[in-house]
Amino acid sequence: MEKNIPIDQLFKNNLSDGQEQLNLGAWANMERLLDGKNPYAEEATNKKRKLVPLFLAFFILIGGLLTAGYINLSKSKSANNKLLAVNNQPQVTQKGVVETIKPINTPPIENNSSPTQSSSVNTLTSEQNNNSNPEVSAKNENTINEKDQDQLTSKNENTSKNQLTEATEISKSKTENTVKNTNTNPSILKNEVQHKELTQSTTNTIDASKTNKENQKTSSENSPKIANAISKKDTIAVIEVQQKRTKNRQSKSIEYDTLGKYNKVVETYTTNIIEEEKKPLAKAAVLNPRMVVLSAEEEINASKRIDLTPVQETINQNLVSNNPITSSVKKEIIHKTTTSNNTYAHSIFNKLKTFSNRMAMKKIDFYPGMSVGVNAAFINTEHNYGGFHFGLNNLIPVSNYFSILSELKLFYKNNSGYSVNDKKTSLFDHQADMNTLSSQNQTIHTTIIDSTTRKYNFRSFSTMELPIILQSHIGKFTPYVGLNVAFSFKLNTTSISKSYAVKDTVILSNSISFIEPSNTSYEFMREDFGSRLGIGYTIGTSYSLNPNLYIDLRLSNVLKDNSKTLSAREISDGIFKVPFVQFSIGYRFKKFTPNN
Amino acid sequence: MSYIGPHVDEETLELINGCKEGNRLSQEKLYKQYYPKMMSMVKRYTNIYQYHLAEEILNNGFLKVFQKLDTFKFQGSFEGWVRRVIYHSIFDYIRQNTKYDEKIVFVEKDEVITHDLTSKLQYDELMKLVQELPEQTRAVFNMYVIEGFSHKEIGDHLNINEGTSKWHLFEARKQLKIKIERQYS
Repeated sequence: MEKNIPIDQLFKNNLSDGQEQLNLGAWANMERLLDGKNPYAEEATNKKRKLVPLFLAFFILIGGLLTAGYINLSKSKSANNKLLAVNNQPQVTQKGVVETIKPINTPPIENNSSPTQSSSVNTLTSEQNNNSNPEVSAKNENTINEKDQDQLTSKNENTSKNQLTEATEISKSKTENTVKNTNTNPSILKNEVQHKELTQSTTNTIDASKTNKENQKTSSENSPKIANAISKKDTIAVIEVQQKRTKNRQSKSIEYDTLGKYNKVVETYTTNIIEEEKKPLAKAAVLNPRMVVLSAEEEINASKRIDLTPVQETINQNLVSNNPITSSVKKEIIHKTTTSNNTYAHSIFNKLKTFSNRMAMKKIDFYPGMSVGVNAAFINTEHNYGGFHFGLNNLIPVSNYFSILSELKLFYKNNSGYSVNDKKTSLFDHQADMNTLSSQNQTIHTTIIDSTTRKYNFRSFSTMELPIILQSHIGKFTPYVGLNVAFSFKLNTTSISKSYAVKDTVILSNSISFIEPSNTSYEFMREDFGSRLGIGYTIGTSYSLNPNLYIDLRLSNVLKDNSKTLSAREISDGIFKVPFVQFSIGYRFKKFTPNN
Repeated sequence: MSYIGPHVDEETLELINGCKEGNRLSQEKLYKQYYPKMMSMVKRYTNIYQYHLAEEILNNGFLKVFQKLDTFKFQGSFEGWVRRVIYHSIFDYIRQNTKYDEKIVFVEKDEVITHDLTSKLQYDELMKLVQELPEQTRAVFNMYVIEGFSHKEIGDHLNINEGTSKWHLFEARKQLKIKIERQYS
């Protein structure tokens, strides 16, 4: 017959008079309480103290990532803006100066002058004029604003208007370049070429507006022939530019002039201007709004190519014979024209420039994001861990089908049931009774062993992981595998010690000697629960719900860590080196579409 | 000459007097004498993994015992007096850390189990079962079943109404029966 018992009665009978075993550690804590110290409050304070650096490190980390992202975005934006600005403004480089001042009916030429001097080329005159009358020579104002624009208009028979546009920098404008048209017949230049106002008094006063006005010149009546000559420079390879700078120490000013007109020559340099491929004028007009857009007829005239090689040779010979200064210049020109090294160097330079521009334009795509999720121990028999995690990540596409994902995650894992057990034993008493069983020639050995067990328990533990993952995009699925660097924070354990007296009786023959049990000490130390750094793997897959949102399932495990002692390794095996399954939902701040 | 009550023997009296004088040895003896029973009582109110918490509650209770020994009038059992002081320490903890939602129970029913199962259930197993109960439910079950408080007294101690106390008692019986039958049948 089955008899039922009320639950209330069952528990009351067994528990009301229950007794627990005495824990010596409890009295130790009680003594501290009686002494006015609160051991439990200290533990709570220590917990809070340990959390502070953790949160601090976390916020610093987030702050660093956000700052890096902001700087990265700012750089890419500024690079784009610079490129736009360069494209929309007259170029002030060696190449650009000549490009902007080139007459409409002349092909664009490239100035090879040094970078410090190149931005101030704004004078176009003849060598003979320079030699005969320094005032006729073009003296450019030292200070030309960046926005200055020089227009040289020649009343040409063939072309009604030439407009020379130049952009120079004010900081680099203390120079003067005299463009010597060595390919022009000197006699023609001497007799027919007259510049009305190509000369400007040289002062060091920076007056952009004044300079701007003074630099707007018109050519003389004889200029058509020059213009004709210039307009026929399609095949002219090199134009020599010479420049002198004179420093007046008394007035603390620097003057620039053409060759040999002042005694105090500080430095002289030579600039080669090499013919450059003609570019579409319409494009130039678009690039530089100050350029004059030509009519169709003018464009046709401007694009005519006339072979002037015989004329050039004649001019060169005349120059050599008539002018001692230009003879040396001419030799230089001929030398540089005949050698292809300079052209080759320029092609290399242009390639490098193009490459640098491309590099500046190229920006690496970043797809930062964040993820949150839950995790649990994969083999959930003994290691009953589970918790949540959150973190930041960054995706860098490598190709259409592969990308690299780096993450920084903080894991909080609860423990429900796993503890680390330790024990120490010591022989308290040993008695050998030889009288009771003396007739059987046996001895009763009674030992009392003082045994203390210590159980280390912990509620939770935290890890910080940095997986670096190679992803493959297959449709909306993204399987991946990668390395996982994990840092486990120090375990906050509470230890429970219990002492027992174990009595053991052994009957042995007198011929057998009794071996006393050896004392054992604790295996684990507090230091064994310290923080550690490990490395392992992570493998899984994610599924893109939309360009911003994705879910992720992965398995990760730490294979090796830096624990040194055997006991620390044992703790690692039970806590740290446990495979974990993670399920996360992630959000990218930028839209990312795989295979796109 | 002091009056010695019927429930206080000579040895206990010496301990009490020694504790009043601040004798650490007397305090240790008194502590260790009552520790097993008091700890058993405190453990019933704590989770199985909260041994350190049980110790903290118990030690705070004993601290009050040592501080308030002068208030003991020798008019009853000294053990009962210590138990009441420890109880107050437990109730203080529960009031501070346990939040009760208001519940209503419609049916009060006492659960029963078969006698065969009781042979398998000893002190440790029953203690574990109680400790596995939810915090609120565990407190009400202990106070009603083992300590013998009424629902009104429980309500006064825990600042909850009687209905809520009854609901937790009902839940405790139900959960315990399920666990016993699942684990030990």
